[in-house]
Amino acid sequence: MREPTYFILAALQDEPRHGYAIITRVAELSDDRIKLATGTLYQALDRLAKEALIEVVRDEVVNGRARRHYALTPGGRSALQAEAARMAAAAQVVLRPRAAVRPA
Amino acid sequence: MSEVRFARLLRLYPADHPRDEMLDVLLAGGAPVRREALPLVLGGLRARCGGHQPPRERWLYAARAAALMLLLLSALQPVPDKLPSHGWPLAAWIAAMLAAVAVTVGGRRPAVVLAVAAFALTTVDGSVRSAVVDYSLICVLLLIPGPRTPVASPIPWALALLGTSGDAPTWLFFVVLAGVVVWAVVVDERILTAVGLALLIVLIEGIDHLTLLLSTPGVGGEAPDLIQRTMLPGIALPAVPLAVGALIALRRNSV
Repeated sequence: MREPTYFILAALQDEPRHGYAIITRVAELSDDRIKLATGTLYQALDRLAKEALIEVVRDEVVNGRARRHYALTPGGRSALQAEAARMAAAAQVVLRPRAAVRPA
Repeated sequence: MSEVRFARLLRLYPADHPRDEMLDVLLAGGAPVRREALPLVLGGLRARCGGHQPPRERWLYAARAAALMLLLLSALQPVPDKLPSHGWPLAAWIAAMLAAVAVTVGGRRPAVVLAVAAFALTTVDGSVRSAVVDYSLICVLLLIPGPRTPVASPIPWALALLGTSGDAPTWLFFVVLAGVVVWAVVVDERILTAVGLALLIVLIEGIDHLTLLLSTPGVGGEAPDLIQRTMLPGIALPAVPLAVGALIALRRNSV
């Protein structure tokens, strides 16, 4: 899973969000490392919806413009958790306290 | 001011895209147009070039585009300067050109019927063996079932016309091919895959030509040498675009 995709899914894990809220939440979660451009976000949302990892749960009109709220599907939640577990296991390899090396 | 410029950029997206919603996000973000412009342009072009299509449909489009290129090449190659004026060749030419139009607008069934007609007519005529081989393989490409897939891109037409134009310099062909590669990497890999499939059929046609050479008295002796010289480029030419196209498609479809 690509890093921006991971953070987009992570941004939706607590509650459904609309496009701009996803961008700000991704920046927040990644300590401002990932600043999604709108074009990039919507390509990712398109792909994720096609893969049934996210879905539109609410439509509203704000300032005369349509605004959709996106949420994780059960499949999206498990994909996110599987990816988090994979990364945690990989990090563990490097970060866990090493066993003392016995001198030969 | 930026609202007008963003709205203009968003027109690159198909009408069924959430353009309104994207404009809302762009204005709420307040990022400068120069930061957002490139992802918007790329996103719009990709969305117009089947960005939503699953891999199977992307391959199907490539097969149709390859059939289109080959129909045009076969119809125009034997007589690039003067088109057939009567008899079977003219009937085959008309059938092939109508099949090309049918592929362009997404009419697969009429395209198959017309391609079979072109095949039958060239077989009866019998003067251009390579066209007989081409039309039979084009029919195979068009027989693959699937959803309606129009090939609206002008690139297959441009490539076929360039390929049959006797006056076009070789460098122009390579420049266009480089353009197709760049287009594939940045926006849409389907045309590159189509070029690979078309070259694969050209390779099969070449093998048929070589077997004919081998059985021709007096000429057959040169064939083994010819096979040795053309084997590697003959295989590499379709293999490279097919592999690159498949890799890009794989990457583009991964989340």
